[in-house]
Amino acid sequence: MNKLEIDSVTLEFGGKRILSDIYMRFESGKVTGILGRNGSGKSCLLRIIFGTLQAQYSNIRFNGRAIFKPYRYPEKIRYMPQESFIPKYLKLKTIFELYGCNLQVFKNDFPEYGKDRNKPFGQWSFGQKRLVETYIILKSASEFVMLDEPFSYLMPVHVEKLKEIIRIEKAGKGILITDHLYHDLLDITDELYMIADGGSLPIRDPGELTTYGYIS
Amino acid sequence: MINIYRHCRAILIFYRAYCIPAFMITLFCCYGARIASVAQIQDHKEFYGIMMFIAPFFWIKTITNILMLLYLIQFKAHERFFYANLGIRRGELWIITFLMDYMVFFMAVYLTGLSLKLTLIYP
Repeated sequence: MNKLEIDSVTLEFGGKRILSDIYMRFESGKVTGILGRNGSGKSCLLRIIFGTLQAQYSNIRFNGRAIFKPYRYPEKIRYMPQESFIPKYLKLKTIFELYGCNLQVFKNDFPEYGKDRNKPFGQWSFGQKRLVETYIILKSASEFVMLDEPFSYLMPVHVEKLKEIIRIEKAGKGILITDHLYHDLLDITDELYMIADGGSLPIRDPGELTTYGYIS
Repeated sequence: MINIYRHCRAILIFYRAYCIPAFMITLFCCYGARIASVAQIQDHKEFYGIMMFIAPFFWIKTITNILMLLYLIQFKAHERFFYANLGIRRGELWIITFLMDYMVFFMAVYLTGLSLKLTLIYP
């Protein structure tokens, strides 16, 4: 079992403290969800874990060993940001080859992608792009994957299919998800954290989300 | 081995994003160096080589490369995650593509000089 821990994460922007002394622990075989209001620092936290955002202080450990710039080790961790990140001129075949994913399996799961095999990535709709991005990160060979709002812009049938894939994939990796579609998130998560007032709170009961003012 | 192949392929994909404007600038620089060489031949009746005139064009090339880099940082910032997820650092990406682009540049300048020399030998 692989273990990813983040400890003492402190982030400030222009003197304003966004994250303060955050501790979280993620394990392979589990889906961990992170909830929080807009601007609470969820995406920043994922970028700090990935190593592309420098925090004032952070300690990231893989199986107990500190690691710097984790993105240098794609076999350990991969990250899907909120924004579309794949160059527009690439075709699905190239994208799947680079990330070591099977395009045929993807087309079997999502037959609508089989029609325009030579269409450049930029010409797909935003929801279709989102699905491809989530899929390649989720399916790539990595011990941990972090997904920032994977369900946004997806149609419900694709959200259900994606949840099914997440349940299968979690057998071999740790999955960290943040999304505002909390019903879908609660459906698949084994552990849940909430970021509020800069700190992290483990959520053991969905009712606590009301207590912390995330839902009414 | 597969990782090295993917690494190289991803770097070529990044270079593809700006190779066309970069190559146009290279052609412009070669043309400028050729015009300067021809003028020098007409003045001194002797050809000292195209490399004598390359310095200003080298700086034009460098400045335009930096401008293109700034454009990529400003408008294609999110694409860095595509490469980061493949284990490629931003610095590595830029340095390798710059080196490739300068190789193309110097090769084009060399060929321009060679063609000018051949024109003088076999008018």
